[in-house]
Order: sequence, then structure tokens, then C-alpha cells
Amino acid sequence: MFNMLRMDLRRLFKSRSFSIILGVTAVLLMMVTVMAYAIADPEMMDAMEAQGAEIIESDRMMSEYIQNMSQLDLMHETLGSGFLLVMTGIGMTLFVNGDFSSGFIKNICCINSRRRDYVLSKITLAGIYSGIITVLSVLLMLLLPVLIHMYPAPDSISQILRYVLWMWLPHWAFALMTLALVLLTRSTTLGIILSLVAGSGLTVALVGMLGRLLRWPPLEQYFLAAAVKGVYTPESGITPIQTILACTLAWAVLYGMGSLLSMEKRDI
Amino acid sequence: MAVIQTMGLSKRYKDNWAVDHLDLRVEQGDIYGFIGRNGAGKSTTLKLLCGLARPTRGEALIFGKPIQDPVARRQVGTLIEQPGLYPDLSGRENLRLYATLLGLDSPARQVDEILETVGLSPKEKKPVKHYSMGMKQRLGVGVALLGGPDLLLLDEPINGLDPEGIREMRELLLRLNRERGLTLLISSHILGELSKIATRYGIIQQGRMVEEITSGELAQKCTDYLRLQTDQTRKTAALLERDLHLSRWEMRPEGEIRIYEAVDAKTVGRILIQAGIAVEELSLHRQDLESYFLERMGGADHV
Repeated sequence: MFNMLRMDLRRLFKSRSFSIILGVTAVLLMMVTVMAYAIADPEMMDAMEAQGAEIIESDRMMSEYIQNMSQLDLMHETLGSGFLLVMTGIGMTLFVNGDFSSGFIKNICCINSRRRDYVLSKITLAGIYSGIITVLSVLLMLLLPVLIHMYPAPDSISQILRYVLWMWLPHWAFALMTLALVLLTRSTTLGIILSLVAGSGLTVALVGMLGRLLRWPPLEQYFLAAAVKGVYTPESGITPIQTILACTLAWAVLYGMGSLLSMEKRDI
Repeated sequence: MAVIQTMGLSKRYKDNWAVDHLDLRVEQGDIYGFIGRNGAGKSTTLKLLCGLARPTRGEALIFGKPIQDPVARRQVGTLIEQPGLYPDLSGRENLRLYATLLGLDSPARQVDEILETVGLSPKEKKPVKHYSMGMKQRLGVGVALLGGPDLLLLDEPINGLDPEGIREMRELLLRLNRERGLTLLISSHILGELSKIATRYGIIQQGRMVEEITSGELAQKCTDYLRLQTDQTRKTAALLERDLHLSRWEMRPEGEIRIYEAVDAKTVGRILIQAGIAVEELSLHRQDLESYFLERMGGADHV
């Protein structure tokens, strides 16, 4: 299994898709930060209004809101929207399905008869993949505002580290969801669609709406997209860890078992 | 020693038995030509033998061990259907990844050696997606050879190769068999090419083994008759009938004698020379190997 993980890691750092995912993440974060800066700067708002742009009261409230944000507020406003989930899901889909679309899976499974080793290696890799994306995004969200002279109120390093940890765990579980789906369907398209739908919170919204109609308990709060959103709230900081931990663990076990079953039961 | 042995190996997909009670035996040092029509079950058998598919029934042993045995697995190199290669990485990087998976010592050196063995340059940097079909095929064989296996399972290894590539591949496989003692199981549609290297054949039809035959037995089976032409046809016929007690022979209108029994050509030649008859032609007529295989595979369609 360790040789397989070493191989996966080597491929990860050599693969173009990983660099592209990291690059796109960085560019999008940069754009969001610049937009936030533009809205937060009162002089910029005045200049826009002078040029004929319609600035209403809610825009000014938004500007004030951004000006008063702390580092974690700004960070979570950007990363907690599901954007990172989508990037992680797409990245994992491309990486895992690369084994199947290229046919390299035949080489892997010919030499190693234990399919669970393959799944365990990919589960570990999903952790590393989501970890890298989470850490990179947090670092960028700390660095980018400074580069454009935007200085949100600083948070303590321990708080930021805790935030990284609690963001990383649901992202890992989400990467396992795409792993399970790819191993089941062996389709890149489906993996990407699911990443977009589930990562953007569409499933949470749908299940929530359905639940209210059918008077179900609020199941949607246990979805990974909801867990990510709930990692941090501006009013109370990092929210109860038990929920995140329980959600992550439950989904991770479910998807891990699904991945294992898909690999064990299907021929290559 | 049987390198591969299957006992009643079967694989069902829905209602269709792709492999049906297949008994196959490959001996150490064999170059086993695995022949059959499209959909006869060749690739499924190879997948079963390398653990990519699980048998519905039956058993397969590799080096006397079940195919799940990790030690046995490491002795097998495979090329099943298309070569499995990451298209965005170079050939060398693909081999490096596989070397990492195998946990090889000094992988860089071994990878370079393999690339040279299969006739590819270790300095080639372009990604595999820009390789020609022949280069991919060679690289696929390279992957199969990495780690020094004792058995190679190759599914259509000369697919897409040009005549020069086919010749080089044939020479490579023969060299591996002779110099390294590798046992090879090769499935191929190109029967003429296979017959140049195979020492044993297995003919599969609708998932069942129709016949297993050595190249020697095949040559014997394909020998139709002894063709003989002399300056005195009638005298020759009488002489042979008397001395060799022939019962199955014929004299053709063009003066050719055909002997359909197993007789030693040297003996025939000696008898005629002693009788002072000039031999103009003495040869064994053989049935075309391809025709033989086609007949055993159940006709010439879709081979």
C-alpha cells in the first residue's frame, strides 16, 4: 500500500491537472479578493458612483461590512461558500479517473491483488489533496489582501490553524465522495457534475426544501457543504466541532465503504 | 513444471459465458500462442489470469500458486488490450511510476535498461499521448518487463505495429524467451506471425479450449503428403508399393506421386537411388497453418 501511495504522490506532483486546479484556485481567490477590496474601499465606491454606477444603500452596508471583517471572516466568506469543495471534488475526480481512462489501473491491479490497498492509498491521497488545497487557499487569503493593501482585523495563529483543521476534514470527506462515485461509475463527467452540484450547496438547498415540504427533521445540516459553511460564523467564531467531526466521520466511512465495495465487486 | 494451469476456469457476464470450463496448461519456457476469433474469450482469460476479473467458477494457478498470491503476481508481467499509460506523462515517467509501485531498488537504472531493451530512448521527453502506436506498444511491453517477471501475458502485442515493428517485437520476444528463459503467453490474431515464434498453441472457441497442441505436433498434423516426381513414374510407384507396402497413394496425371501415409522421405530417396531412378522432386507438402487454425476455430469469418 505504501508503494502505491508513493506512486500516487509522485503522479500527483507530476500531473498537470493538479497544477491547473491549484492555479485556478489561486486565480479565483485573487479575483474575489480584488472584488472585495473594490467594494470595501469607500473612495472606490465614490469614484464608481461619479462615473454613473448606481450605488444603493445595501452596497454601502456591504462595503462597511467588508471593512469590518477580520481575516477569518473574509477567509470564510470566500472559502466557506463551497468553492473549495468544488475544486477539491473536480481535482480528485480527474486524478482518480486518470487511472481508469489511461488503463494504468490494469498495471496496478495486476501487481497488487488487494483492491483495498488501492482504496486506502486513494483515501490517504484524498486527505493530502484536500489538505494542500485548504492550506494553500488559507495562505492565499492571508497574503492576497496584504498585497493589495487591504488589512482585515488580524486573528490569532491558533484560531487560523484551528480553522484550517476544521475546514480540511469535511473537504477530505467530500474528496472521498468523488472517489466513491468515480470508482462506481468510472466517469469523469459524472464526478465533475456531482462536485459542482454537491459542492455548491445545491443538494443542501434541495434536501432542505424537500424536508420542509415533507416535515422531515433538518437533515441538510449534516451534509458536507452545510458542515463547511458552518465551520465558522462571524458572530461566534469556529462553531461546535462535534458536528463537523461527526459529519466528516460518518460521510467518510460511508464513502470509504462505497469505494471499497465498488473496487472489490467490479472487474477492471 | 506448469507455469499456468487452469482447471474448469469460467467467467459469466450476465447470460453469456465468456470463458467456459477452460483447461489450459503452459509449461516453463513455452511461447504459448493463444488463438481464437474475436469474442472467443482470449482477453477475458488473460484478465482472469492476471486478476483483473474474478472467475465465476474454476481455478487458475500461476507457478503452482493461486492467482491472488502476491509472490506469484510479482512473477507476472502483463500487457492486456491497450497499454495502460498515463498520456500526459513521458514514457520514462510512466515506467518510473510503475517502478515505484513495484518498490524496485535503483528504479532509474532499471527503467533506462528496460527502455533500451524495448528500443525506446531514455531521453525521450514527450508525453505518451504524442507517441506513435508502435512506441506505445513497446512501452507497454516495457511496463510488463519491469521488475524482471518470469512470465509474460501479452494480449495482441503486435497490434498497430508496422512490418519492421512486428519483426523487432518478434525478435525481442524470442530473445527474452531464449536468453532470460521467460515463459510467454501471447494472444494474437496474426496467426502467421504467431506461428513463427510459438512452441505451443491453445485454440479457444466460444470460451472453450478446442485444442492444445505443440508446434511439433502441429507440423506433423499439417503434413498432408509426400510429393515425389521421378523420371520413371510407373516404375517408382511399383517399387514403393512393393518395398514400403503403401496403401494410400495416388499417381497424378502430371506424373506426380502423392503418398498420404507416414513414410520417411530419406528411406524413399534411398530406395529410388538404389533402383537407379532419378529423383526430380521429393518434398513434404504441408497444410497452411492459418487454414488449420481457421478450421479449428470454426471457420474463417471474423478472425
